Amino acid sequence: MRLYNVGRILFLLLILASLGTSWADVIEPGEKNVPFTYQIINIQDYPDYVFILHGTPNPSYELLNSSEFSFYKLSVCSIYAVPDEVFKSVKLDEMNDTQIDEFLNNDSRVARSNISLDGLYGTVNVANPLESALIQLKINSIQGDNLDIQKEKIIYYYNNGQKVEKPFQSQNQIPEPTAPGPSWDYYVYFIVLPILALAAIFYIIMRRRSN
Amino acid sequence: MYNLLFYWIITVIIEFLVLCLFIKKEPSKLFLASILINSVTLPLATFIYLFFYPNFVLIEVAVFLVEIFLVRLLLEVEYKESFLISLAANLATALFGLIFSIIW
Repeated sequence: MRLYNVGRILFLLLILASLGTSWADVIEPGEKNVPFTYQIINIQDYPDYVFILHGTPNPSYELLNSSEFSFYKLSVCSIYAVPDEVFKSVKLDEMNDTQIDEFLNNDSRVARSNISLDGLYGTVNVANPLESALIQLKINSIQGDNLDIQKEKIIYYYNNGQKVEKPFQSQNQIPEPTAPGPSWDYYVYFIVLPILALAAIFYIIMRRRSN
Repeated sequence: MYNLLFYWIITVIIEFLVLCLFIKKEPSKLFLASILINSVTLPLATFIYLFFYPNFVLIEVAVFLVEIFLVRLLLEVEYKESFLISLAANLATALFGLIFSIIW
C-alpha cells in the first residue's frame, strides 16, 4: 500500500473524529436510563378511598395499592383520591380519556395531590452502578378536594444489590445519590483483563523469538 | 457490568470473523489473537470513553492504530495486511455498535 493512500485514510478518519457523534432520540452511547418507581407507604390508613394515578400522556387511570408502581418514562403523573362510594358510582372504566381527565381534575368530590411525579430519574453513565430509584410517598391528610402527599424518602438501588436511603429535606429537591465505589468486576474488566492480555502477548512474542 | 461483557464477546466474535476473512488458516490462533487484542483495546477504550474523553470516532481511530501493531505482532503479517485487517475489523465493530445503539 502506498504511503499517500495510508495518509489519505488517516486524514479522513481524523476529519470524521472531529465531527460530533450525537443522535437525536437515542440514548447517548455509554449512557443508561434510571427509572423512578413510587410507593405510598400508608395507603392502608385510608380504606375509604380509592387512589388513582393519572398522567400525561399516560396512564389514563391506574388504581394504586400499597405496591410499588411506575409508568412511562416521559409521562408526568398525579395522584387522586376518590371516596369509595363515589368511585363505585361513576364507573371510570366506561369513560373515555377526556371524561376521565375531566372527572379527576374538575369533580369536587375528588381530592387532588399537590405533587407531580416524573417517570425517569435521568440518564447516567453505564459504569454508574445506579439501577433505579424508589420514592416513598406519605399521605398527610385528605380534606375536601385537597390530597396532601409528601415525598418521604428516596431509596437508590445499585447493581450489586446495595441500596441507599435518603430522606427528603425539601419537596422540590431530590436528595443526590451517594454512589458506592465500583464493584470488583469493574476492576477485573478495566485493569486485570488488559494486564493479563498484554502479559500473554508479551509471552507469545518472547517464546517465538527464543525459538 | 453485563453489558460491558456482552460488548466484549460480540467484538471478539466480529473481529475473529474479520480475521478469518483475511487469513484463511489456523482459526484457533485467530480466535486467540482476537481475544487477546480485544482484551487490551476494548477495556482501555471503554474506560477512556466513559471517564475521560467521550469521542467515539477518535477513540476508534486510536484503537485502529494500536491494533495494526498488535495484529502484525501476533499473526506475523505485513503492515499492509495488518492495516487492512485492523481497518475492516474496527469498521465492522463500530458499525455494529452504532446500529445496536440506535435499535436498542
